[in-house]
This record gives sequence, C-alpha cells and structure tokens, in this order.
Amino acid sequence: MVGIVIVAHGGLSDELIRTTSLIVEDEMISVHSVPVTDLEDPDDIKRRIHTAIKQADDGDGVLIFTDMFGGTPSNIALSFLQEDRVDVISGVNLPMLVDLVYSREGKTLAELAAQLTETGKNNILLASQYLRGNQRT
Amino acid sequence: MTVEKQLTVQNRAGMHLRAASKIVSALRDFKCDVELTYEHRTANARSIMSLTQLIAPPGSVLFLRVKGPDAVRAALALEKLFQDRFGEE
Repeated sequence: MVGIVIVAHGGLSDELIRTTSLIVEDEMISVHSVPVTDLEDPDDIKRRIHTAIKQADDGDGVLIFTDMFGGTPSNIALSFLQEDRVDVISGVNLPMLVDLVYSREGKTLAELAAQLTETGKNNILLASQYLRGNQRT
Repeated sequence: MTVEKQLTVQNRAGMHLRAASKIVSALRDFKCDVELTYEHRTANARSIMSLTQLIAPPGSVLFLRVKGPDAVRAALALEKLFQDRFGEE
C-alpha cells in the first residue's frame, strides 16, 4: 500500500489526520505527520521528513501531502521527489484525506496521486453555482 | 439484477460526512453499482465526496438504484442503515 506523509505548517497535519479519523470512524487511517514551524532549522525538517518517509514506505512508494506550494514544508518535501517512489501533492485538504482512506488499497503511487489531486480540486465548490446546475456528483 | 427503491434520510444532520462514510463502508463487500439521486443530483454511493455533494437534508427522499449480482443484499443493507439513522441519535 502506498505510504502517506503530511508535511504542513503548525498543527495542520495533526489536525487533518485527527479530523479525518473522526469522519471515517472505524476505517484504518495510517498517515504520518510532520508538523513544521518556520523557525525550525531546514536540515532538521528534512531529517524528520526523511524519517517519516522511511516509516511510511512498505515498498509501494510514498505520497507526501503539503499544505501550500512554495511554503517551507512543500519546498523541503520537493527535495525527496523520486520517480515512481516518492511524489508530492500540495494544497492538501480534508476531502483528499477522506477519499484517501477509501481509495488507497490496490492503487499505484501514480494512480492514487492522480485521483486525490482531482478530488482535492473537485471539492472546491462555489455553492451558488453548484446548486444552480444539473450535476452528477 | 437491478433494484430500485426510495430511501428517506431520517437522521437529524442529513447526508453529512459520517453518514456518507457509513454508506461507503456498508457497501464495501457487495459487487454492484450503487447510485443515489436527490433532486437533480446523482451520487456514486461508493464515494463519500460524491454522496455529500447530494446535499440531502433531514427528511429528504433519495432514489436508490443498485445494479449487479449483489443488488438485493446491498439495497437491504442500505435500507437498514437509513432506517437506523446511520447509527446516530
């Protein structure tokens, strides 16, 4: 199964994991959290991400979620990019993590990354437009 | 095999995330396609995100369509889940 690491500012990664667990209740959510503060030494952040990747990887690769492209967590996470082994999705949100819980099994790193990126984008909705249209969700 | 029936959302919070999560979990072992329709919106009942985008409030009546070898069992499981208010209250 693809390993998951969330690297984000402040307490966001822990809180996203906690909130996802509340929603999916009995389902398994195995995700590694790396909280980051801008005051931290970048080498320390890099070491912690490296440790989390090693813990998360059971041979099927690791997907790293970061909170915002261009931020410190994302910039450092990018240094771990490795084709078919480690990939990074920025802009993590709750729908992506909820979808992850139900979609993870049997998918390759590339398949999972593509699906969750779409989920993240598709769940940003302007309510007035969404409710106006005939839609298939 | 296709099963169609109406299901009423009976819990107080309507089709929210945890209710959707229970539907997805309940369907996990059944081989079938499952759709729920509310007003003009149709959701894949195997996707939490799809279900929550139904925006189905308490008391709303959803149209269920199940297709596949396990359609009858899946429909019964969902009917029970709706009747049990998704385990809430």
